[in-house]
Amino acid sequence: MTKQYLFVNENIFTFNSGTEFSAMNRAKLFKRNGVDAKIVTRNFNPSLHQEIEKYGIDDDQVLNMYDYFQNQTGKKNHHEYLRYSSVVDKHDYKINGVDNNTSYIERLGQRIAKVSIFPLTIGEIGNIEYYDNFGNISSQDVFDYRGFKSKEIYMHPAGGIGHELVFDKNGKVVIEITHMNVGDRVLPSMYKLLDYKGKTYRFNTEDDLFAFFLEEISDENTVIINDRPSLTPVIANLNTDATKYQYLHNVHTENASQAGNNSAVLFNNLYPLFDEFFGKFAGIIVPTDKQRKDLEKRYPMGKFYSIFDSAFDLKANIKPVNTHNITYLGRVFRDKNISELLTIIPAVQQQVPDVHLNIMGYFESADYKNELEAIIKQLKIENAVSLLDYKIEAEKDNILYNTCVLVQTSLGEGLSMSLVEGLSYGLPEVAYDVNYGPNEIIENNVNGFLVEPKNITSLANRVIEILNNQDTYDRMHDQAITKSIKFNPDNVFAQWETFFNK
Amino acid sequence: MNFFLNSSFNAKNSGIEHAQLKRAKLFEKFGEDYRLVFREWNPLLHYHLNKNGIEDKYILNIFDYFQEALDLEAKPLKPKDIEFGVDNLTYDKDKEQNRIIVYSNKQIVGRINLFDKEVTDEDLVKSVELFDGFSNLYRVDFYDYRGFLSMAQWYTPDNKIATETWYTPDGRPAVEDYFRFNAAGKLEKSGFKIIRKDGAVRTHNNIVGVIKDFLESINVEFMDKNNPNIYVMDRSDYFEEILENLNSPTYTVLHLHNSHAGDAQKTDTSIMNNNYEYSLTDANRYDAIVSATEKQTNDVKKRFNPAIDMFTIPVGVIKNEDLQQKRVPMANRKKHSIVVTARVAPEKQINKIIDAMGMAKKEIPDINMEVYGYVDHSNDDVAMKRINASLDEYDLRDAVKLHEYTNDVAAVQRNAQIYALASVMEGFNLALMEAQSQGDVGITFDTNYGPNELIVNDENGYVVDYDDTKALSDCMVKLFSDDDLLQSMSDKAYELSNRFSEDSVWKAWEDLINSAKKTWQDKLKTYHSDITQGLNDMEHKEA
Repeated sequence: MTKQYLFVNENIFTFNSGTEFSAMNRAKLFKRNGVDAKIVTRNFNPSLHQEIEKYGIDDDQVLNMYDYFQNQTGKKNHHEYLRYSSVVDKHDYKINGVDNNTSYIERLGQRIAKVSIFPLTIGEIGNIEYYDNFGNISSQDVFDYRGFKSKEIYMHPAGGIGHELVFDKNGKVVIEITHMNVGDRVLPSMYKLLDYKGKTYRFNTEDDLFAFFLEEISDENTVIINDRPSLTPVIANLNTDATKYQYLHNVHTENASQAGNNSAVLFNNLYPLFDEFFGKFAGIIVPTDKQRKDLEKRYPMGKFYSIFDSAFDLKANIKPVNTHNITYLGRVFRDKNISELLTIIPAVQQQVPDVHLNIMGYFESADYKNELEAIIKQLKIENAVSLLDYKIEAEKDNILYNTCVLVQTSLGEGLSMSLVEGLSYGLPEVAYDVNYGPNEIIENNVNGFLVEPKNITSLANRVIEILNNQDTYDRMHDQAITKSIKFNPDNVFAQWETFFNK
Repeated sequence: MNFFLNSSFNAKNSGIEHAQLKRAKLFEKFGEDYRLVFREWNPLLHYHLNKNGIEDKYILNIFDYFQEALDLEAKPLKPKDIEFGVDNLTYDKDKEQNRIIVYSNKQIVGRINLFDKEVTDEDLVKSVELFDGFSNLYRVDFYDYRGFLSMAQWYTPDNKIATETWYTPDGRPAVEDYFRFNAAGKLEKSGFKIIRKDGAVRTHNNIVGVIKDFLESINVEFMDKNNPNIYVMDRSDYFEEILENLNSPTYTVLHLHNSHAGDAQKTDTSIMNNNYEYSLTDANRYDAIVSATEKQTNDVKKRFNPAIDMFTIPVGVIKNEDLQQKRVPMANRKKHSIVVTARVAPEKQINKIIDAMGMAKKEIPDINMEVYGYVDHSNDDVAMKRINASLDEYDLRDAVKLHEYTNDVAAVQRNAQIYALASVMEGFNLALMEAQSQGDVGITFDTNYGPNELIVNDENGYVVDYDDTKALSDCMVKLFSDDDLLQSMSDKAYELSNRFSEDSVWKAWEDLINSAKKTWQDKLKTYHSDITQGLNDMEHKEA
């Protein structure tokens, strides 16, 4: 029997981190090589099939738990346009369009519902909030991107979600979710699966339902690769004949520089894996040989594998640039140490007055964004820095095609997918030499520079060196293209083949 | 289609429901289709109506309609049919509360309440209280007797109802209502939502909107150019406000089942009977008024001068086989016996019948009476208190027997000689009509409406002045001291019962239907059904 690979994740979000990118990248890689694989997600997400479309993932490459129980795993083949929707009986109700995102449904001058248009569609229903006699929101219909009513959310009289009903395509309820007292808080207290293969199942948590789902879809020919440490206990406890692996996408210790130290403190979310559930997994996959060796040293009984967690084809039509744009690509989170990157800009400006830093990624929080903006203001580099938010595909290409140097000041990584991706655009890269990844990707003074962590003077000088020196730039640009071969799909898949044949 | 409108139907019903049942059977006999329409949700509706010989296809409950549960095969659920979704269940029967408490590994998962023993001796599921894994009561499910989850009440963390959902038998929410805090901070029903099969959602501030939706829908569904949609408002609450302005044509009939005037002795002047105040005030917005007696028809015409048609149609129907049955001579009945088959309620004034007996006792020492009927204990049991006072005053405790109820009214009526009435007010009085068809001689006060028309004075009994107990007593003496008179009036009672034969009552309905058919053609001339063409998406193409 051929194996089926399931890549377990919480969700494919609107803004994704390296974990989801890695799973999607792997799904594409497996598909390209004819290996049966799916990304399996837990969260209810009406936008899921819209999101994956953005990343070139096909509808049959994901399997969401709710989709599965709703019997709605297919692709989009219907557009539920508000103006043509059977939800609104236009003999009696009027649709009052407020703007492109919002319409009201009204009768005899009374507003009975508010329709939010599905994001990034033209006039398709996203959700409908119904008002009661007193003007409260009584319930909300949630539509899926694929054009059907997927869920109804009911409110408690005091506000807050009361219960939720999840529907199949005939409008029959397939899952009930209640929000009741759990200890001294009101939280989801029940996930009830109705008439599933003729039986009813009651679960206390969404993870319990997820475990049931995974057991339903797996057998001895299934290989589960869990990408999310938060789901480690769920996967570990599955009652299934499937083979289970945990994929780590980050350095395992809180202090990355101590990763090789056997007694260094682990990230909190990894203790369940290493302390409790270690034996439940057939092995742990990490992106780099270095991390694998460190873990093998720390856990001699364990099985560890190293496989790059992303693969990129070289981009077409790469040309050297003559801009002085430098770019950071990735999550804009505190652990990425972005503020330190900002502090080098005034120094770089001394030598390269027109240097411009693009920060491209989604922010940890509005607070963190405000914090960074305050630093930018304080350093008087408003005109030299752009906070670009999250961009993908063509918009991302546009930035990277016009970037001179990719920069990174993060103090710990699993591999650093951004740096790997940077190679595919032929970008010279300057990054702190931290565990793990940068030194797998950057060969010092060949396709970029590795800088001692926290040495901002050195960091600034290395950036200036590339920006101000055409020869260095040209050399490193060429070397980046050469280096990218190491991470191209064929070479990464070769690592997987070794894993398959072990 | 002929729609007979009512609120509900239960184990115990009033005269209006009995009148509807008789009419239903009459329509069936003469091949005229009909629907009994009920506006209240009732899990036992089909059970009770089936028991009274009404088939599901004639029952049109508003909730059933939206729940797509009009005509189903009944498969009542047993406790073990209920799925809780957890294992290791134990069932503890709580006999006293007629329920079963269900545990899983010693944690409560549900309480199954069973249908009452009056309904069934079997353990059948009426409702289920459901608990989540944290022991919160999160919902109570109510099952239709036909065996499906009909309605669920969803609870708040502080144990109040937040939402009620009515489901189709295959589990699709079809009707919802909500409870929210009003401006005074009180938790109240704050709105309804109807979800149709095609996904159409309609919201309503209250139940009237739901009823209107229903009427708008069925009126179009049953639209037929040859057969008018006739709505007979037997109980007009809510319907009366909707039918006067539906989008499509109707033929609406206000059916009076009781006096239109609050004081039935002053029908020309007294304040209107509250039940009919709205509908009679707006009567000219309907198409016809039906009353059960000529007398009331004339009084209504005289007082209100309505511009619409009025029809007199008896609410009682006597079956042909009953009219043709063997007559029982007075000599073969219990001597000097009076019978009453009625609710023992204050407005029936049974104490006055006892008073009349008391006055007659000197001349008719063996005068006796049997009363059959539920006791209405309202108003501090005033009806029974008055009866007991009269029994004591005239020392009639041995002569008068009070029975709870009889399943064979005809048999007790057939064995009595006089049927007596002293009511304050009546709509028709089916019991008297039935007694007369058994040959009972009727005596009554001049009570509006029914008694003073069912009894034709000096022919099949006597009508005395209202509240003249002495005169009522004199009638008893006169009848019980003259066997020939008693027998001839009994013969007449049998004869005059033909007024209420199936043929003659049907004739009255036919007149109404024929009149409606004429009006219908006029209504249709100005009616245009909704546009259905050109409304759909014609430009987007889908795979």
